[in-house]
Amino acid sequence: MNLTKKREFNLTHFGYLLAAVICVLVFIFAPQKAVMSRYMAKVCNEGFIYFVAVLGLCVMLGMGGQVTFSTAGMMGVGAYTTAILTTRFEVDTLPAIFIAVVMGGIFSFVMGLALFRLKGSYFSFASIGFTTLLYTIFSNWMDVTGGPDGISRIPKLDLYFFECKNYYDYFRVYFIVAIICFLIVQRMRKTSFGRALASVRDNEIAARSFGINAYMTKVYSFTIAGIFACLSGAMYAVHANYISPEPFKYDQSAIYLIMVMLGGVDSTFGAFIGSMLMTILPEKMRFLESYYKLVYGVGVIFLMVFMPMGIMGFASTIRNKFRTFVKRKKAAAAGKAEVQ
Amino acid sequence: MYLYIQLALTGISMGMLYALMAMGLILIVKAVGVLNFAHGQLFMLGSYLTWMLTYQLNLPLWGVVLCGIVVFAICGAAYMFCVYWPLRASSWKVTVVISTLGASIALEELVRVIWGSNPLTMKPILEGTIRIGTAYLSYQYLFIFLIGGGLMAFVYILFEKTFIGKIMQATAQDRYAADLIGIPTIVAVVCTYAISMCLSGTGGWLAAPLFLVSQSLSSFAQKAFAGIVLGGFGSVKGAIVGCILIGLIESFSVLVTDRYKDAIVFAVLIIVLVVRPTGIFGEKIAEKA
Repeated sequence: MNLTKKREFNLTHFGYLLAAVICVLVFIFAPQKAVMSRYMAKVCNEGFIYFVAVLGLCVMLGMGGQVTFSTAGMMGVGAYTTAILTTRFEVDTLPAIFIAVVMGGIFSFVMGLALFRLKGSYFSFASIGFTTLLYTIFSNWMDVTGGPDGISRIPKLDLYFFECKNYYDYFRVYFIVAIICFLIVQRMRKTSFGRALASVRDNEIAARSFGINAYMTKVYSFTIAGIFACLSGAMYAVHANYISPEPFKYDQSAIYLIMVMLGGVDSTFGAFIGSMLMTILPEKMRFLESYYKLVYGVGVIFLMVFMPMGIMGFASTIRNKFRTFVKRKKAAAAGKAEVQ
Repeated sequence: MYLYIQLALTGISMGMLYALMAMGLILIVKAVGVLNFAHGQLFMLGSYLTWMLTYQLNLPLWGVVLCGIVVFAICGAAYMFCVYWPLRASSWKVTVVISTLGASIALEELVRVIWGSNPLTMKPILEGTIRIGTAYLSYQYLFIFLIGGGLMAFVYILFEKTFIGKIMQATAQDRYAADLIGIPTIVAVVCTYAISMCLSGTGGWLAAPLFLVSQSLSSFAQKAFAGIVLGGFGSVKGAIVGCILIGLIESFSVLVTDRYKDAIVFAVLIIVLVVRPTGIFGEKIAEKA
C-alpha cells in the first residue's frame, strides 16, 4: 500500500520492504475487535470497494485524461450480474464474480467502441447518458433486476478455502484484493500501454503521429476501467448481501470523480487516500448534520482552487519546495566556504 | 390522430425546456471551454427562486418576470465568480469540471437547507386546458412553447446583431486574441454566465407548475446533455434541434412503453452515436495541432 509513497520519496528497496511489512501488520492486526469496531470494519470495506472502482478512474482520468461518468453504471453491471447469478442460478460466489467481471469487460469494450467515437466533453456527456440508461434498466426491469426493491439475500463470499462470515473476514479478503489491484495499476504505468495512454492525454495528435492508435488506446482504457468497476460492483454485492439501483446512479459517479481528484489524479496511492477519506469522513462529520453536504460541495470547490492535483500532488509540491530550499542552503554554505 | 398531435405538442414543449438548458450549456462551453455540470441545479434554483418571488414576496406576474431576470443575472454572475473565476488560470480543464460538480452538490444542499426537501407546488401562468379534438393539453405547454421560442430568438438577435454579442462571440472564438485587441473578456464571460443562468432559470420557472418545485428537477440536465450530443458538436442550432428531438422521442415512447421512457431516449442517443458520431448537425472539423 505504501509502495508509491515510498517510491516517490525515492527510498529504494528498504521502502518496499517497509511497505510490505506495514501491509502484513495491517492484515494481521487491524481486523480485530480490539483495534476497530465492527462498524468501522464495514466502513473500511466500503472504502476498499470504492478504491477498486476509483482505480479504474485513475487509469481513465489520471493516465488517459478522459472524464467519464460510467463508473457507477459499470459497477451496477457487475453487482447485478453477480446478484442474479448467485440468487437465480445458484452459482457459487467466486465463479459468479469471475463471470461478472468477464462479461463486464466485454460489455465495456463494446460500449467503449461506441462512446469513443466522440471526443472530450462530448464523450463525458455520452457517458452520462450511458449511466442513466443502465440506471433506468436497473430500476425498471422488474423480472430480472427486481426494480426499485432490488435483489436481496445474496450469499456471502465463499473462496472455497476461506468463507467470509463477518466484516473482519471481508476486511482481510478485500484488503488483499485492493493491494493486488493497486499493484496492477502501478505496473500498468510502466508498460507501453500506460505510456501510450499518457501520450494520448497530453497530445492526441502527437501520439497519433508516433503511430499510436489513439482510439483503440482509449477503448482499452475504458475496458480496464469497466473491469475494475465490475469487480468493485461484485464485491459490493457480496459484501452488502443486498443491492438496489440507488448506489449505481449518475450522482454516485461524480463522487468517484471527486475521490480520484481529492487523492491526486497522478498517483495510485492518492486514489487510495481519496477513496478512504471520502468514505470515512462522512462518518466522522456526523455533527454537521444537514449541513454536511453543503460543506462538502463547497469543500470540493476549495480543493480544486488550492490543491488542483489533490493531496499527493500537494505533498510533492511541498517536497520539491523543501528540496530546493535545502539545495539553496547547501549552495549558500558552499559559497561562504569558498569566500573564506 | 388527436393523440398524436397532443404527444407532438408536449414533446416539442419538453424539448424547448431541454433546449433552454442546452443553449446555456453550449454558450458556456464556447465562452470558457468547460462543461458546467451544475446546470441542472441552476435550472432547479431558477424554479425555487421564482417560487420565492411569487409566494414569499407575493409579487404579481410582471414583477416576477422583471425581478426574476435581475435575480437570475446576479446569480449567474455570482456562480461564475465562485466556480470558474478562481480556476481560470488552471492549466488543466478537469479541475473546473470537478469544481462544477462540487457546486452542483452545494447548490442542491443549499436549496434543501433554505426551502426544505418537500416538493412545493406552483400555479401555472394560466390555469385550464386547451381542447384539441378529443385530447386535452394544459396551457402551460403552450406558454413553454411561446416563451421558449421567444427567448431563443432573443438570444439569436443578441449574439448576431448587438455589440455585446460581438464581444461574446469574439471571446468565444479566441480568448487570447480578444484580450489582445482590448476586448474586456471578463465582461463577456460574466454576460455569458448571466444569460446562461437566465435561460435555465426561466426553464425552471416554466417547468415548475408541471413537475412541482423539487430537487429532482435537476435531473432534467441529463436530457439536455443528450440533446447536445444528438444535435452535434458545439452548435447552438444543433443543440436546439437535438433537444426538441429528445423531447419528441420521449413523449412518443409513451405509445410503446411507460417505464422505459428514459431508457429509449438514451438508447436512441447511443445508436445515433454509432451511426453518425458527429451528431445530426455536426461537421467534420479537422483538429489543429
